[in-house]
Amino acid sequence: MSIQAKPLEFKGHTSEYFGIWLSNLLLTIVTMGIYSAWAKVRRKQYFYNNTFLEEANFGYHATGIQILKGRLLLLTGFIALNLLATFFPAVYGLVGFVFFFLGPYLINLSLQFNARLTSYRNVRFHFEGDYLEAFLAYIVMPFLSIITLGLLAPVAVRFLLNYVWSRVSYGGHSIDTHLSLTDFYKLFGISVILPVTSLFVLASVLFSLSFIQSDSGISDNYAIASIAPFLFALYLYIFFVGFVYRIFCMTLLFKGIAIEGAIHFSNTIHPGRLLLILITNFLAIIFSLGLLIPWAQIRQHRYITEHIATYASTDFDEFVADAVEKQSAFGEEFADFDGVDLGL
Amino acid sequence: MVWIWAYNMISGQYFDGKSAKGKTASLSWSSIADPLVLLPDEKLSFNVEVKSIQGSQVFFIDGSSFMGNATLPVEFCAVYQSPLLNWIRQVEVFSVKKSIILGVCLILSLTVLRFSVVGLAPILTSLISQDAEISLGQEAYDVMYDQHFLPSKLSIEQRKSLQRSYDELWTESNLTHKPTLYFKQAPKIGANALAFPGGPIVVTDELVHLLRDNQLIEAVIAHELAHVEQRHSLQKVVIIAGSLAIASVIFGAEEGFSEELVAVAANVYAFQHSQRFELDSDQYAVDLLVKAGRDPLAMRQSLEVLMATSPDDDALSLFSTHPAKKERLAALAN
Repeated sequence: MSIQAKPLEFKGHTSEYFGIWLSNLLLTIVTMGIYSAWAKVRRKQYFYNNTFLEEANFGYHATGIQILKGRLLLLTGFIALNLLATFFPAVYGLVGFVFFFLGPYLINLSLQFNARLTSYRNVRFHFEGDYLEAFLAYIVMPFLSIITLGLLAPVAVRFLLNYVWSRVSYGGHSIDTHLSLTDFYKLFGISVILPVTSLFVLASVLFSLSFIQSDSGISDNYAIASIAPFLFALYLYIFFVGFVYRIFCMTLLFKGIAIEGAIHFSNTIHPGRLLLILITNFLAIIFSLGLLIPWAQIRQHRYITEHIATYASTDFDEFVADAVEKQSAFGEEFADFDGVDLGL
Repeated sequence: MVWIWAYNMISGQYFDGKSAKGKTASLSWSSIADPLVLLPDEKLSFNVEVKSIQGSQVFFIDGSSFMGNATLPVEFCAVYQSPLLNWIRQVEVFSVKKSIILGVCLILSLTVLRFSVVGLAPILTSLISQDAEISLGQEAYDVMYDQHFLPSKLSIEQRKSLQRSYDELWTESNLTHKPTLYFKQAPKIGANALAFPGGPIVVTDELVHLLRDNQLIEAVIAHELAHVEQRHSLQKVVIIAGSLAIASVIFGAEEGFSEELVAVAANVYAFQHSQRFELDSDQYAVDLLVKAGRDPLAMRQSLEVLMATSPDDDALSLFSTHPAKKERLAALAN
């Protein structure tokens, strides 16, 4: 069995996507937000349809109605909870408790929905969730990360990615995950601890300087306004750090997943180059007042996609021939409700 | 008359929906019939109804699909997609002229929404009962009390004198309920006066020390009474919530940081309305001072004292909940 490296291909163009993005925005406003469900489908389809693995592209099969139903369900739940909180506070507490335990189940439904509506060579992906593991991944582990002041955050992220991806299967073949905990700790140290500590040091210095400089104890109406730009900058900074961390976690993922005997992945993503792309995208979006969002999205997606190497074995064709749809796509519509996209 | 319909062919692969293995095939289509998949190896052909078209792929209603060797031609999509989808696809096709037209439409729509939110805020606010507003204000005051306020060190005489002035101003206002007036020390907030939704009104010791003259303090109290009477705090909540709701609806299709940034932008935008409320309250305070037989110039003088101790910082104006004092003074002069 010989192995050949080949990058994933992305064939999208900014000009094409700009038209989709702009009309999505406009139609969403004109329809008072209703079209946003269809806009989401259109956007996902564009990226899926233009991503090629071994000369075949992916398909996305959600419909706007399905997404809209999911959103309406969430909205109804939200309004019902608020009404309960207003008129029956005791019952609200109980319902809140129930929702806490219902969360992992809803997340599993959402993951199942998203996998089931993604296809490759007209065979759908599948996700088989487990309630207890989801409870650990989405509630217990994040809680442990918080009480250990982030010390266990890489363990939690690795656990979560492991949970999600090891339960995805394609044509009856499960995805194997081999995620290195050391890599996650290294990434956490460089992309979270370092920038946050630097910010803390900088803020302490600035704070002591401003304390020394203030010559009177009188502040005024403008006290809040004067710190607003700093709060705004802080928000952007923390948000950006979180965003970069998420992207880099995904790149780690593509070093450690495979379908045994058929394909495995690796990436040649250069962290400095990716960071430069993310920073310049971020600045371009801010300075263009959002007009360059399509350009930034295509640029980021293209860089990541084209630097993920796929190693398909020569038995890949055999694997493809062997990949059999477990459930007929016919009749998908009847399963709408148990698989609504809850946007989780 | 004999019609001759031209059939077009697209090369690609056929997937039966049961296996990922594709079979070399051709898709024959015309504007009058369902597309015909031709499998040369098996000498098989069949008609299938189109379910959806995605890039180079066409998915059929029976679960099978055809993947063209290139993106499917526009003419093919025009025949097998609904007229509405075809129209949307036409709109999506990029051209500079079309982008400019769409961009202008987008800006117009956003402008209409912007004014709708601001216009609807007083109406939505009027739907909220005064009792609810007062209890909201009291809760906000309780939270701030724990974190920012200390008992006042002003003399009892000074407080009584200001309380009497407040009573007279309130009598001239249109408020049906009487918000409580508190004097508090607030070292973290400094020289300031605050109006909570539906009351109470808090005047800090630091403000009294700074303005010194009771007439100037009365002007600030009149300004705060305007905020309570015109329910500005509640309107601000409605505007922020409305802006965020619109932003999340519009950008609901976008995931990632654009949505987050829009939320921040919506908050910054909401600050601007705060500034309008301040100008309205200044004018109201002047009118109230006249009605109560006070000197209306006191409003202007109090602003001048505040300006002397803390000049405007133009760089911060975008984020300020208050307009520049220069602007407020100019508005009062008019």
